[in-house]
Amino acid sequence: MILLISGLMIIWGFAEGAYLYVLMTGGTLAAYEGLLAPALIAGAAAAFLLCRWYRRLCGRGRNPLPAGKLSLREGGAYFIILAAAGIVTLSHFTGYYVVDLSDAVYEMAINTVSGGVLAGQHPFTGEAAGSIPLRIRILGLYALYAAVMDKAGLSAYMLMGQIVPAIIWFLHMGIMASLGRTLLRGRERYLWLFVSLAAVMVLATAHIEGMIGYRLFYEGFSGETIRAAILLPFCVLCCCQKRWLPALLCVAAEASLVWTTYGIGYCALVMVVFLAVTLWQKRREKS
Amino acid sequence: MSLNFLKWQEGTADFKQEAGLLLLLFVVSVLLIWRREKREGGLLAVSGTVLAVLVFVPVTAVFLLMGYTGFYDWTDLLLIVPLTPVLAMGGCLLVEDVSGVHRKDAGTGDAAIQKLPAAAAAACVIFLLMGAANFHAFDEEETSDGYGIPAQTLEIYESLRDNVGEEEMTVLANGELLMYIRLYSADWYPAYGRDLWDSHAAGYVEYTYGDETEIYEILASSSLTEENRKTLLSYVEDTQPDCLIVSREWEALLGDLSDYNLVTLTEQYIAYISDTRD
Repeated sequence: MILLISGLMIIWGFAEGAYLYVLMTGGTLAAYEGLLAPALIAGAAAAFLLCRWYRRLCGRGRNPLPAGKLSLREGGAYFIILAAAGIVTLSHFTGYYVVDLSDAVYEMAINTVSGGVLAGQHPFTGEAAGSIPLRIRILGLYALYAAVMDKAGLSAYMLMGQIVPAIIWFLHMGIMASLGRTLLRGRERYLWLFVSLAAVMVLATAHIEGMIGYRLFYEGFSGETIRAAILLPFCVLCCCQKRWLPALLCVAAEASLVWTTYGIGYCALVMVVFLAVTLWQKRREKS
Repeated sequence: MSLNFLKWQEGTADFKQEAGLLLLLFVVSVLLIWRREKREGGLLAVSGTVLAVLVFVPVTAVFLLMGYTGFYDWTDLLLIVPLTPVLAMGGCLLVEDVSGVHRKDAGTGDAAIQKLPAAAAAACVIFLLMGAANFHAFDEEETSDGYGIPAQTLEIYESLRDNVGEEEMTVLANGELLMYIRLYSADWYPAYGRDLWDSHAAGYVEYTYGDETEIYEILASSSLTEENRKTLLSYVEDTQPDCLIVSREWEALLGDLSDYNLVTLTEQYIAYISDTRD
């Protein structure tokens, strides 16, 4: 999972690079679409090579765990909980629900498809591009959505309200499973329970403002949701495994997905705290 | 810098109840992990506690708000706390404790293991009761009460609906009246965005409105000067909103507007409804 998410972040980095290049040259959506495919292929190749290098560097399966010996009764119970939570969550995305349209990403993607110009209109006023602050203009997530909508002929609601949140949920669950494998060493019996509880947490926080479930259910396409459901849990996973390089990737990805203070976002803070506690623990063990 | 983190105190009963329960479970989970785990779990528990302290202690929370979320609410900071892994780990350890599997004398006997699914189900019910149990449809009564539309504003909306029905329309009025209009009816649209009266949104998008800012200020003022009257009428003529709501005291100053019918809403407010709506 670490390699998969790291690879996705590297690919995203190439897509963001293509976006910034087109934006700086005053390009259009068509120019971005033309550059996107080579950028994604180059990103995938770079991700493959870097992940292979990193795998050799760290050695195979740093935290190998047996699958766990579950009885049919236990496994069945956890599976039912996970499946129920998954069905409730995913069925939310299949129907029509209230998407937070006030999010700039949603509106900018629609404006970009209709106008054909990157960051051509202010998301709230419809004014010309100059009124969009630079710190928002450099975030290229909306352009990726716009390109997919344009090329695949998907509606904004289908892509950003249904497909993307579902993908994010699956990735979130994958990260949680990896985190469970890391945290439950010697207790592999509870891995399914861990994942089930993580799935239930998404539902349990669906009505609490700012929490992960709330974000996934009502603005599942936004950069903030990707940060909440993927980047932050992945950063915690990397820190728990003391793999600081992929954690740094999270910091970079966050800076290009969400507005941050000069690139220093939540992931940087989480990483610093985990690093400090790790050093403190080492010092304590020595003494 | 407003102390947005005080939203914790200002928050709705539901928010306090649900986030409070989560916080309580977080503390219990951290204690469970701390007691039993030394390796990765211990790292997660200690780091999670440090992050929670940073978010919940007002002094550090203010610094985080200044650095990260000056334009958002304090609740956005909650993401920093690794709630999901800590609570899931805590749940696993709780189930282990309840089932007695970890105890040497219990071994892996059938009696102990058979309790696991029941304990897991009980843990899930506790989680679900915190939030997901609140899935319910809104009804009109709850919308007006639950979202706190002021009684006087509600009276104006209802009077307007009696006059114009349920049709779609653009409404130009002062910020206080437009603030709740979308809660009352999804068919009514404010003539300008919420950013003008929502300081958080205005800070976030950082753009400047054109004429709307001036009109917003004119409509928010208690008196209407001759210059403001001309500006307002010019704006109405240019943009042709379906409905203009103003103070009743302005009726004499504005007079009859061409293409608009005058309607009395309440003792304080009148409305000009466009002829072209039909």
